[in-house]
Amino acid sequence: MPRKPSPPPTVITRRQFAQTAAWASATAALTVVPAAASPILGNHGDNESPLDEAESEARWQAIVHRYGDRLSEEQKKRLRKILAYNEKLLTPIRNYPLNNGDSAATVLKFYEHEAARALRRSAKDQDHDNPKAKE
Amino acid sequence: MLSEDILYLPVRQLGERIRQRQLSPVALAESYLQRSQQLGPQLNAYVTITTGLALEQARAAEREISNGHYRGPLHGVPYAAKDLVAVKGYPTTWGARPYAQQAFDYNATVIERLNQAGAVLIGKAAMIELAGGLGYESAKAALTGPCKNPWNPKYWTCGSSAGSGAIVAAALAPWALGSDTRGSIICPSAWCGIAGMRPSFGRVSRHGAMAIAYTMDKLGPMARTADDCGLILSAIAGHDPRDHDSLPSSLASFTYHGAETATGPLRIGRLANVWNRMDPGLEQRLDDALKVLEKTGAKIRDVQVPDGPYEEAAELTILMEAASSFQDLIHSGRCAELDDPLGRINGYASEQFTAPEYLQVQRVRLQLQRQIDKLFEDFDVLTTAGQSTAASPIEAPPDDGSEEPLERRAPDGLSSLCGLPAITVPCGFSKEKLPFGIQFLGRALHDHAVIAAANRFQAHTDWHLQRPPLQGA
Repeated sequence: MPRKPSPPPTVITRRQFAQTAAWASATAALTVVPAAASPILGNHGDNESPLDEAESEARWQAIVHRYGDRLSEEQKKRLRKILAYNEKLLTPIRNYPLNNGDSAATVLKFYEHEAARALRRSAKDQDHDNPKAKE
Repeated sequence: MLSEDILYLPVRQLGERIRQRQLSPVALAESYLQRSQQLGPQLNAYVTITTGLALEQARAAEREISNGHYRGPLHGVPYAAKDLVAVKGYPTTWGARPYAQQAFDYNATVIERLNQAGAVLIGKAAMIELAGGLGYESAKAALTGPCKNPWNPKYWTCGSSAGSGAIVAAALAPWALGSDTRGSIICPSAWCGIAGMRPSFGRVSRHGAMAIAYTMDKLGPMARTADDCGLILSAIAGHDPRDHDSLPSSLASFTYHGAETATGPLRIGRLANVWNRMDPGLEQRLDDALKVLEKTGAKIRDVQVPDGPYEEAAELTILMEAASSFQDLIHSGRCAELDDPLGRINGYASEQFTAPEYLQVQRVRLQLQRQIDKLFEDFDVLTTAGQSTAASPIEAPPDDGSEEPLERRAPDGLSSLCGLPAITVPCGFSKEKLPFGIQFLGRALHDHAVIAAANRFQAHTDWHLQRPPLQGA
């Protein structure tokens, strides 16, 4: 579900619709909290760079090449906007400072302190099961 | 039919009455079934009501309990399950037209665990098609139509566990199973004025449940109270070798004995910069809620979430993984059968992401996870609103084209991205008499902490005892 409103028509995920609708329905004045964007991480509202535009266009061409006969002109037009939006999502990810050794959360793991605690528990259990092992 | 006073009781009290043989599981199931048949269609709350199975399970529970074999607090207690978990012998539609005739010849692990606990399945709850896995732009993106909020049927329940929210709020069942990839339990629970919990990633097996994003999907309880969420979680949590991401046994299991209320000093960090905007009425209710907690000895301080592309990483992870999980639907062109215009084409765009891009997102994710974990060095739980507004109208106008800045620190995105537990409970009403929720987020695997904080709040408030003004009940 939901996230927030973005350029129309756009990728509205599970979160996005709800908030879009919620804002549209809100009649009272809303408290605005300024959202600072880090210069390093990039601002989501930035315009698409020429490189992003070219990539977005290439992706659109690939879709039309493969699936064009299934898509109406209106859908093709909308896909361009979805792809542009996706480029904007990617921008701060590409700009995020990473080192070569920074690994990926391809399998989400929990935190070092949790793992350490689990290992300690497991070691304690083993000691308990086999008291001579320590000797 | 049993009185509404009984049907609105929390699971703990229903279970206790059943244990003491003051309440018949059969009578309870019949009453919830009757209410579900009467009100369910008005709210578009169910895909399937499993009358035969419910009565069979209720009779078995009654027999066992009479013979002195009591299984625990869920024994003989009805529930509903979001229609993305497989129940043998019944349709499992994933809320989507292309899967309207789908059925599995096995039960999801979570259903098996509930069968072992002696729970009684009343029905399969309505949901947003594919739980929004390929995107959606309207409450109407559901096989069974827009789910209506019991507090006001002109308003939506939120998604994607839409039916689960309506079912609990309208007392069609005392609790329901939901799923949450990024906010799909928390939002409908907040908007429907109930308790909803997203457990830590990996605690509850997803074997037999529809996948959207393998590294973000979770199943969890939606109920009347935080205490009920604890009871239910203790029944459904545990390692399952059939779910690749299931935590090892020592971490996955969850024991919950009673209404734990965090008796010691509770350190709460109030998230000060996660929403771009918040309904001022809700802001006031949050202040009131935190004053209640302060009076119980809680120490509350504002905390800032450091900048980072949390929302982008969450959204990209879902888009990329969904392109894989729904690959058949996209390649076959059957995504055109979806109700939502966005859902029909979004998969084509998501397929264009590359493997290095996916890996880059997952590398950034690890950094963000570390950043968020540090916040818990000073706090037991973090808190904010369940959502930044009350429910929106079903007929809300579509995206008006305004270029809002991305809400990159929105709590659903950042906590789901990091697999953190969260719970929301009601904390007041809007001027339209629609519920507001307060949520508590915990460190990974600290599910007890969020339940305890919410229990403490509910022990000193009665928002969860309010009932919606249902017509035709």
